Amino acid sequence: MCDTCGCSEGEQGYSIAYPDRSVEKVTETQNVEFHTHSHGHDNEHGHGHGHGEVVELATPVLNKNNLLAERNRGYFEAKNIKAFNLVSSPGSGKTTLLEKLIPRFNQIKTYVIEGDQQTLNDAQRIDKTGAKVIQINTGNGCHLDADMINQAVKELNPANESLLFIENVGNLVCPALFDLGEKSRLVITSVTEGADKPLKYPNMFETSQLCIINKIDLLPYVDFDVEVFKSNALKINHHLDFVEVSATKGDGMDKLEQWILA
Amino acid sequence: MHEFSLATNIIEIIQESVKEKNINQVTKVVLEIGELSGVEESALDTALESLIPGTVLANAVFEKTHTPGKAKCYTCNTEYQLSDLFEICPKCQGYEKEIISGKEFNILSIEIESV
Repeated sequence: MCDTCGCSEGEQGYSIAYPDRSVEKVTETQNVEFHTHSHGHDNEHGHGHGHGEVVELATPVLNKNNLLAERNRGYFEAKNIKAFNLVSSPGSGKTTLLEKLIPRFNQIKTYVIEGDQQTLNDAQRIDKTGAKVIQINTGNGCHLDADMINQAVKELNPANESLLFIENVGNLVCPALFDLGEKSRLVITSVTEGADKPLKYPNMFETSQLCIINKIDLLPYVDFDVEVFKSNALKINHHLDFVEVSATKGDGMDKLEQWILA
Repeated sequence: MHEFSLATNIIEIIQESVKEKNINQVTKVVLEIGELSGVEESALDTALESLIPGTVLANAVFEKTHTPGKAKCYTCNTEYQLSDLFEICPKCQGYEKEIISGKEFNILSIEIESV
C-alpha cells in the first residue's frame, strides 16, 4: 500500500544499498497482522454487553521510533560520532552542500546516509567525495525513521570520533516527527523559497537546531528578505542558530564548518 | 503524509498489548492528539480506515481527545494558549517561549471484548 495516499501498489519496505549496489538489503513492510475472522456478530459495538474491558495504555504512538532513536543516539555518543540530520524541501541544495562540505573534513572520517524515494543518484555523487556513503530508498515512504538509520549504521560501521551526515528525504513536513538519534538537526532553506517558510512549515523549524540559508549568491535576483525570514523562524524556535551560505560559491562555508565541529 | 506510518504504529502497539489476552476484538481506541503535534487528523482517519479491516481493530471506534497548545513566555512568564507555533505572548509580545503542552500524540486506552 502506498505510504502516502493508501493506494495499493504491492507490498514494499525500504532498501539500503551502496552506490555500486554491492550490498543491497531490502526490508519488509511494517508488521500489521492481518487475519480473517468471522464477522458473525460484529454489528454490535460493545454497548453494555458485559465483556468490555478498558485497558490503559498511555503509550506515545511514536514510542518505537523514539526508543530506537535513543538507542542510535547512545551508540553515537559512545563512539563519539557527531551525527547530523539534514532536512529541507527538495531542491534546496542539501546534496551539493554535502559535496562541498565533506572535503573540508579531510582529517576526520566522514560517513553519509542518503535518503530518497528512488535512485542511487545522491549516493553516487557523495561517493566521489571519498566519504563512505550508503543509500536508503524509501520506495513510497516520505521520511527516514530511526529503524532505517539503525540498519544503515550497522552496515556502515562508522569509526569512533567520526562525522555522520544523514541527508533526509526532501520533504519539509513528515521528517519533522521522526527522531533519528541525531546530535543536531539542520534545516536548509534556499533564498529561492520564500521568507515565510518557517511559518508554513513550523514543525520542521521548531525541531531543528541550525538553519542554513543556502544559495545566497542569488540574493540580488530574488525577492528574499533574510531578516524577515530569520524573524519568522525565531518566532517558531528562538533557539535556532543561522548560517548563510552559498554552497556553490563558498560563502559562509567556514562558519558552517565551525558550527559542525563545535 | 506520514499518517500511514502513524496509523500502522497505532495498530501495532494495540496488537502487541492484547497479545497475551484472548480477545475477540477491540471495540474502542482513545487517542490523545495535541493541537501542536503535527498530526493531520483527517489523514490519520483515512489511514486507520484503510488499515484496520482484517485486524482485531476492524470494528473499533476511534475517540480522540484534543489537548490544547499552551506556552510559557520566557520574557514575562505568562502562560498562554496557542494554536500555532508562531504565536507570540499576548502580554509582552515576546516570541521566546517554551511549549508546555499540545505536542502529545498518545494511545490513552482501548476497550476490548473477550471471547
